Amino acid sequence: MMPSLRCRRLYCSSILMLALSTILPVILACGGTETVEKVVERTVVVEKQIEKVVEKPVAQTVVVEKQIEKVVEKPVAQTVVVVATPTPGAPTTAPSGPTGKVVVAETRVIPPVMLPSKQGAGVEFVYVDWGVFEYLLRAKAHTSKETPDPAEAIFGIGIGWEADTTAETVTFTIRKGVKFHGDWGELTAQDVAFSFNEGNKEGTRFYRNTRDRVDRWEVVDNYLVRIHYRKGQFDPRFVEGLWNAGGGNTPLISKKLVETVGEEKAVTMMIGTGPFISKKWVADDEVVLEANANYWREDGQPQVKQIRIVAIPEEQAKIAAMKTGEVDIAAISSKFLRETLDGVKGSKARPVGAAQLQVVFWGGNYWAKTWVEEKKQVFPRDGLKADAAHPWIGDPRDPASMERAKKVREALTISINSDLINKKVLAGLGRSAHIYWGAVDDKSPFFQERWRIKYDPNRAKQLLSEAGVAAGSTIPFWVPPDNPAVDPEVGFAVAQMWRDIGLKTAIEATAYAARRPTLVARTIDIPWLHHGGVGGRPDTELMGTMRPTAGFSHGLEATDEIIDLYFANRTEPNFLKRIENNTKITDWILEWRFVTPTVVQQAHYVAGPRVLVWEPHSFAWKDFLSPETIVVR
Amino acid sequence: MTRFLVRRLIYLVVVILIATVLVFTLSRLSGDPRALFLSEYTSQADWDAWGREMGLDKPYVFQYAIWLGKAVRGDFGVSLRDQTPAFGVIVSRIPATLQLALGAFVFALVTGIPLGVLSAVKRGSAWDYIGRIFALLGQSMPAFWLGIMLILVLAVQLDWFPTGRRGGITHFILPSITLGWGAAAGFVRLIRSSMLEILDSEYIKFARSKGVGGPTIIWKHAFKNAAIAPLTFAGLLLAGLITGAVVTETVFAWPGLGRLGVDAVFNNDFPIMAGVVLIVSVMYVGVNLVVDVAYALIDPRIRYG
Amino acid sequence: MDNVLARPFARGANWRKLWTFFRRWPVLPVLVFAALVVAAIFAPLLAPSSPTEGNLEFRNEKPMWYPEGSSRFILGTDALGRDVLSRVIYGARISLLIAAIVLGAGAIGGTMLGLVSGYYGGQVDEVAMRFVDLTLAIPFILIALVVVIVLGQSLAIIIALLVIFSWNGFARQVRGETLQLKTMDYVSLARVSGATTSRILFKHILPGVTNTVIVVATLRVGSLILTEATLSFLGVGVPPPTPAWGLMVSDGRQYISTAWWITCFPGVAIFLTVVSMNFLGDWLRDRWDPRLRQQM
Repeated sequence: MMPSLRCRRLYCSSILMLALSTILPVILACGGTETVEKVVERTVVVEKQIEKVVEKPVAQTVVVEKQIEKVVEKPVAQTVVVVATPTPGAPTTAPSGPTGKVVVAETRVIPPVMLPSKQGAGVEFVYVDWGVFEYLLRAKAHTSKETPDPAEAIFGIGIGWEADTTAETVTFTIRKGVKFHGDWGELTAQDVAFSFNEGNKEGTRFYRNTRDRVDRWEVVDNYLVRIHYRKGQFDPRFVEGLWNAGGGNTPLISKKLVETVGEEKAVTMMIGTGPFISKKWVADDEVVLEANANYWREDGQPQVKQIRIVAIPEEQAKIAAMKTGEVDIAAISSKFLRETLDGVKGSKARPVGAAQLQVVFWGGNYWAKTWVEEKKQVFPRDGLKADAAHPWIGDPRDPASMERAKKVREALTISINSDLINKKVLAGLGRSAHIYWGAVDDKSPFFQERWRIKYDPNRAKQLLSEAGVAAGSTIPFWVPPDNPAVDPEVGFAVAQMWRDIGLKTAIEATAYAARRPTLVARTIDIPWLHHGGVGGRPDTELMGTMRPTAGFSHGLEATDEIIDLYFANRTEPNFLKRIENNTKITDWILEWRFVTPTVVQQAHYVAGPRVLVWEPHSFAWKDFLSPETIVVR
Repeated sequence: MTRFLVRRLIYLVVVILIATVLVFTLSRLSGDPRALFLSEYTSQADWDAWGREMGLDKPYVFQYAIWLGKAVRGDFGVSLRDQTPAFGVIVSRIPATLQLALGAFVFALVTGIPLGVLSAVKRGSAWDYIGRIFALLGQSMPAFWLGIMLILVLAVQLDWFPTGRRGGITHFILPSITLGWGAAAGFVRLIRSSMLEILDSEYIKFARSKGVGGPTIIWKHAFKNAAIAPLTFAGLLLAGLITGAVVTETVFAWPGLGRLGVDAVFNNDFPIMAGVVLIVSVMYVGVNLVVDVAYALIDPRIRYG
Repeated sequence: MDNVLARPFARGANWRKLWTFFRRWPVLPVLVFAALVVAAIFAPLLAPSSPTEGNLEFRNEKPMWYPEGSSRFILGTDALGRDVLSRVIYGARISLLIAAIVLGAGAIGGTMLGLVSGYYGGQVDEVAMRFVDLTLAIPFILIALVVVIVLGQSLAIIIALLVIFSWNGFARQVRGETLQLKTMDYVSLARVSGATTSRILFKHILPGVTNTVIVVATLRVGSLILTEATLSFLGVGVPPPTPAWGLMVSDGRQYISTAWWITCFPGVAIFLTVVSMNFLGDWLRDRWDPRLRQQM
């Protein structure tokens, strides 16, 4: 792929602008003699200080200078080099060893499945979040409100990278001195390549395998590993793909271990590189973790000696255990937060992880014609039943049906009083949502006022009668009871509001796993409540789950034109263009009410009085994480 | 006797076959198992490859036969969730389940029998009412409600017990009470009615008239005779406790077979589902077999032949 | 005679008469049962609001006797703002409906099996009883879960499952009764005089087992309601928003420490139903056939 000169200039100028915008304020902010001194220190002591203070501007300047030179001299190959030279695995500077024990209650404890190719449940991020394994890249800090700059993702096992957009590869530099638990030796590029290839191999169950985009990972030398993308599939945002769960990111495992003990035995051996070592891992029961004395990250040393994570499925039992002090940390739903904080003296609540959008998907609207990857025509799907019993489904072949169904979906959308749901069901701790574009809320610069949903039950009734839906008609609504990211009470409240405009709602409470086959087979034809990610970067591609594939879908498929926008965003290097594409998609979703967002709920964890310090960092799934920051009394 | 045993064993096999066919059919009917774990990035080739690997391209009967052939050798397949042999996963949960079942059983015996006896002997008195109220409560309180109430009152308010999970002795008292109260209620009613019957019978009146007095009558004669029906009940009960413990296990976070089975159903994890059904059925029929043999040994009059 | 009546505790005589009356006849249980039936039939008239309509604004409102409570919601509201009292009253409908259908159908099926099994004996008996025993050996909860997941969650399916699994209780008892009755003289007489088997079964034996069937039915009402509650707890019981007591207790358990009235009142309703049914069943059994005690 030969980027045009204009493209390159655009790219360079955006990097330049980014660099300038970071340096300028710093320079402007530096006023006194002290800061002048700082500047001097910075340039001299760059290498040492990177670990302690984020030296954003310095790193950037290096990049900019080099980069501009290269571009001018070699117009053919374009390379972007970001290298920082931190001190290699220095011994801990923590004053004393880790002390104390902590007990955490989670709703589920999943089984130990170390091999990525066997992880089909889609919840393997707990292995990293609980501190046993690590991903390749890591930024200094992620919080649920702030996403770091990808250029800063140099504080993990991968300390730098070199991307070659022509060859469609990225070469990563691996930190030295990262040791696996037990006696499994140092982590090298062989382990990295092995981990990713394992998750991407033939017959993999890995929930987020990237076999459609990534060809293989290759070992260049002991500390250099290279990813090879398939032709035309280079991911310009590979950094974000490798610093948290999702997008084919795999926890790093030991090649030597798997080859020594064999796959069958290796599956349950939880040997990683993280701050905690797994001593006992029993599904549905408990996990016992002990501090890793040889952990490489200086600012991430474990502060407690032992962490026990226990499974307590019943929420009242969790709250009871917190009250008696048997459990120190637990996730508590918004509606019980007040009760728990009152009942456990000295406890504090923290928002953890990305908030989850609760969104109604109008199952049955299968409008896509082409399965791009397989070059097949898939229309019409089995679930496309645009008849009187399914008034929310529109058939693209019949414009009248599309108009009618649009009115029905519109009516059902504006009859939801999301502020009330937030106030009552989420105890005011969430917020109402207007768009499916999770990374953009109504305070974001990319939000458009025209997208705001206005609660109007009277207009809803009017629309229903225009669409020919008689009062008393039944709308089925599937509200899965076992999706931890979805609060069924939100679904019940929505169903209630539909009753208020004269319809009957028949709630279906089937388990998610039981219904999933109908999602995959594109036979589901009823509206259902699911979650959507919130946060992350606003330029991520949207609608990936609403296109033809052989796997999971959300029960609907957008038109070919919209799906093209999805594919465009997968490889589009320009940030603003990606935003533009997503804006187009959001406009389209709103015009057709393709999906209906309701509220956003934020997960909270409550930490009891014994916990002095805990700084959960993550903008991904809500989950117990950052165990290394816990300090107990 | 041998004939009796053989017939029972044949019956056991029949039960297992029917139960597992049922589960197998229902599991396959509930949807393509591949649909449970393949993501939105799945290609057609992946889908087909997985179908071949799981043997989904063969007819139902074949698939079942293959599964059954492996199952009798102890290979229930690989659990979809745990990715380890299902047999091992199931077996690892049996101790916890047995512990809870026995705990509940002991509670039921220790409270049910004395109350039943007292209730019958002191008919009409306070003890009678206590016994009957106890039984009524046991039959009208849902296990999850009782469990949560016990946790709230005895564990949180009074701090006498831990709130759940498996651990030392104190950990399994509350779950045993929760699971066992219903069974205890059954014992109270059974013993009470059996004893009432016997106490009123001619046999006892005759013994009384011969001068054999007081407690001797009750314990030696009445109880031994009255114990027969509850013995059968006990057999049914023990097996029922194993399967009915789901609710208790969930409320007290107890890692037993009940929860494993339910989770497997929700995850359409067929190897575990079928394995649990099989093991539980075996346990049930096995326990009943033991009870029947004990019966036959104790009372030569009773022979099923 | 008059002297006797003039004795000191003559005034207590009326009370004692009343007390004896209450102990002889199951007055209270019948009254409670009658109240339930009335509630079930006249629910629309008795309930102050609709059981399925609610307003989130009134979520978890306290019952009337609290200072924050109002007479609009006498027993408070649940998590979706629905009136608890109305739901409990309408719940009588659902619970009684389920009980009636399941026990009715179960009784018919189980009785058939028991009659045939007991009368014919031999192979038929073996097969029939083993078949019925299957329903005990196979874990009901798991099968119910799988069936509901496959076929969907509906009242009809739940009822069908409960019926099949209730045959056992009836079949065993009826079989036992049949075994005894068939040795009776009038049965042999009928057989000798050339009556067909079905005639014998229906005209001579069936009336004899009716009492057993009724007793078993009343005693099983309690366990039926509890099974419904367990299924609701697992998410495969009666589909919401149907007001069934078991479902209400299960849903309300989350709020047991903050909004106790959501679980408490349906729980009381369950308790009263079970108590009255059990007392009634016991009484019927004692009155009709004390021999039954041994087996039940």
